[in-house]
Amino acid sequence: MRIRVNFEKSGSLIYTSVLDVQKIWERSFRRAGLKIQYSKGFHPQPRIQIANPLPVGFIGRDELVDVWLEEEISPDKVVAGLAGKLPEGLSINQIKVVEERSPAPVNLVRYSDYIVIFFDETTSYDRLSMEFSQLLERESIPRVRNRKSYDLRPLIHTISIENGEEGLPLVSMRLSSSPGKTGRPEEVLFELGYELSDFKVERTRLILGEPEK
Amino acid sequence: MKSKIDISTFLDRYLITVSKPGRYAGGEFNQIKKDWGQVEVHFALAFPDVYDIGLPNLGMTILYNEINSRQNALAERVYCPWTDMEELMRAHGIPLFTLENKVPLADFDIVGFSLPYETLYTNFLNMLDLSGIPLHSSQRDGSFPLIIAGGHACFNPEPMHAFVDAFIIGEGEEIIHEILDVYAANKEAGKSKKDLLLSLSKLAGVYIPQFFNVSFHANGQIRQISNTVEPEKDHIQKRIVRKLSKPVTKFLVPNIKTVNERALVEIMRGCSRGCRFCQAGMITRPVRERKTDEILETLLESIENTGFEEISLLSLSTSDHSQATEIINRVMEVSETRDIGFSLPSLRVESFNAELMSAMQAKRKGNFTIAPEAGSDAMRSRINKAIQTEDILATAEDIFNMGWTNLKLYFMIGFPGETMRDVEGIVDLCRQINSLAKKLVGGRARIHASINTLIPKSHTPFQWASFAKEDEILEKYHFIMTELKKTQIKIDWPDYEKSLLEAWLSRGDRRLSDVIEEAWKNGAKFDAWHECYDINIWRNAFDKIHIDPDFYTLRERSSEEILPWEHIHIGVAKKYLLKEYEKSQSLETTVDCREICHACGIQAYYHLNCSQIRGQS
Repeated sequence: MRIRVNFEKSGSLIYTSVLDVQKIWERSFRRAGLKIQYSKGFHPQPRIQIANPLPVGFIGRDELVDVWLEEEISPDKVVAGLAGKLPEGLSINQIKVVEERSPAPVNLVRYSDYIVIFFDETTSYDRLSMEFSQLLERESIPRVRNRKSYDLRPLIHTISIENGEEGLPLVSMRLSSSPGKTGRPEEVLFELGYELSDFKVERTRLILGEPEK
Repeated sequence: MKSKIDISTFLDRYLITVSKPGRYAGGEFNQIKKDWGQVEVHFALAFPDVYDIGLPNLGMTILYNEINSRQNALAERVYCPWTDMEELMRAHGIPLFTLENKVPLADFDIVGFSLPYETLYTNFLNMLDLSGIPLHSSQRDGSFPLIIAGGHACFNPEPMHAFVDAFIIGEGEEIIHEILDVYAANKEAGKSKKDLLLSLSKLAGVYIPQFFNVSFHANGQIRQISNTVEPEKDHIQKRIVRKLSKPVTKFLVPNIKTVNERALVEIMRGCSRGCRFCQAGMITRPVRERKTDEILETLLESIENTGFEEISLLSLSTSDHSQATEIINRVMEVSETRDIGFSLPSLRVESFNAELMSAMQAKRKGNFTIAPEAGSDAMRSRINKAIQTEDILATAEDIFNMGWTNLKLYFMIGFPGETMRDVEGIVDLCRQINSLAKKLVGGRARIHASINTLIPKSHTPFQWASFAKEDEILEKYHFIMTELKKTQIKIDWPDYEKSLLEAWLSRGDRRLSDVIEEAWKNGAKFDAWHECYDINIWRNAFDKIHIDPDFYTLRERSSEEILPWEHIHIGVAKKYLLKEYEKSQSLETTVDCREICHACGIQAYYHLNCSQIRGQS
């Protein structure tokens, strides 16, 4: 049986990588006594597929993971079984059953919605507005990440700003989020000259679509 | 002093900029987070190495559970921040804090450091410094936390005497409660720190270094060790528990990768083999075994409580457990039915038999380890690890026949009385095992030989021996490397200098406190890490303090000499250790004391019967 878990990752779990998160799910299910299917072959792996890796340091409000269980069991029973078996910082929004032959979750994600919150007076609404207008006017934004060159511009779908709490600007972004075409919010801010310790990021939504051919 | 809010704000903003930020986040499954205001005594458990290494430590886990099981106390954890985090914390004025509630260390009533080995000493100092706590016991009044320490390195507590208020010698499960009771009583009565230390000194197994005076002869040797407060109480007797307490099952499950991620069961404590180089075997006597049913129940409960995909049995010599075969059979069953990996360290060649082997057959992945330690039958008699070469080869043959391809061999060089013949023996043995491997397993065979330098540790028959000289060790090592070059054997050799540092620190007297502090001041930290330690910082520190480090290592000591750890009693008598040292010189062996009791002193000291206490747990 295949289920899709919609969950939130925050608090102490902000600093875990996608591999860590996979392991955390594996162990949570094991603690709950819910048996996960294993892949075949020399090195069997638990069948857990995270839809889209969330970078270390981000809060995720709408994350997705598909899990293949050995037994047929109702989503309610899965939720009940996992109650009290998850580490703090991990909470389930919803679980639903997915058809076995559905596409891999990684192929369903198209965009990610992020909000970026700045710490104290690093910048201002006015300054950011100007910086983003200028950025979006550019036809290309060449960047290098992990020694690979890429163009950031086509990966930006929309950016908007508003005045957030305590007068600190709140940036919303929708960036492309599919294999090979992933825009990263911190890259946008690095391009504008900001540093990691100036802001924090929250992924608020995963936008799904039909898998691309 | 930074408040909790400041620390949280700092973490929120800057934690993302350091390596492996998950080290400082806490929130692990099975973490115990109590309400600060609801308890009387606040205890910080400190492990002076990085989180990745400290989190799985069993001693810490046991004490964490023991302390938190009390209504009137809480325990939170702190590990040594990595260098990048330390730099950031210092730059922002953030003090060292515990993981659970992010409380600065200085706010705790007691900070208990785990000291499993000596190369952690400088990290200990660094953690106090990062907490704004004065390093010296004499500089701390009642407004600072009580600083205590326990662990195997504490069996020679003298080098750290200046920094620790009270050492716990031996097993901590029971004494920790006594310490907390005394602390709570003293706190309620509003007593001073001096009164507190006086009360603590009455507990068996507690050593208060400031109550002891050590004087020296002109030649540097110790003239006298005396208790200035209670002169008749001239020694500290290590603490043992007569029956192993209920084992931990709620291990902390890390959210990030750590060095070990397994459910562990300690199946046995102590060892009866009497290998003459082994400190752990001597200081953990008497042997106490856990019952098979309890071991299995514990494993099953642990798997349920943690979800770990691997389990492991812990002891100094697993195959010596009287029910070893049954235990392994039943654990293998659990391993197979639950799809859980199972690792089994510390098996002795002598206790190998067909039954045990076939019990392990299904578990053919991974490494098999055997520890011949010495290369010749003669040297093995000296060190009292009396296995014959032909038995080692027979075991290796069985191992390969059963399908294992990876074999790790442990050896030591630098034994007293060692000649090149013994070293040639290591080469010969490796060559023979290699041929066997090639013949039975072929090209897939992977043999790994680890060659360590003997450190003559306190409380062993070799404690009077001198540490081997550098040129001799290098010559022996190069010989082994050259001779085995054409084989595919991978050879591992920890630096002589790293062993030298451990030798200085484990054999030193109280004068080393100044050296340790000087080394720390000059940047020594993470000395257990290959990429971090710098022997020159230490050589310079010895120089500055005008102490010749060779005094501690390159000198065979006479049996008349008062050793720095003389006043720490482990129950095994000094005269027994001396007799063993003499026997090693005449190649005489001492059989496993399960066969014949050699009156090492443990039974007399603790008024117990070893055969009885062995099976009681």
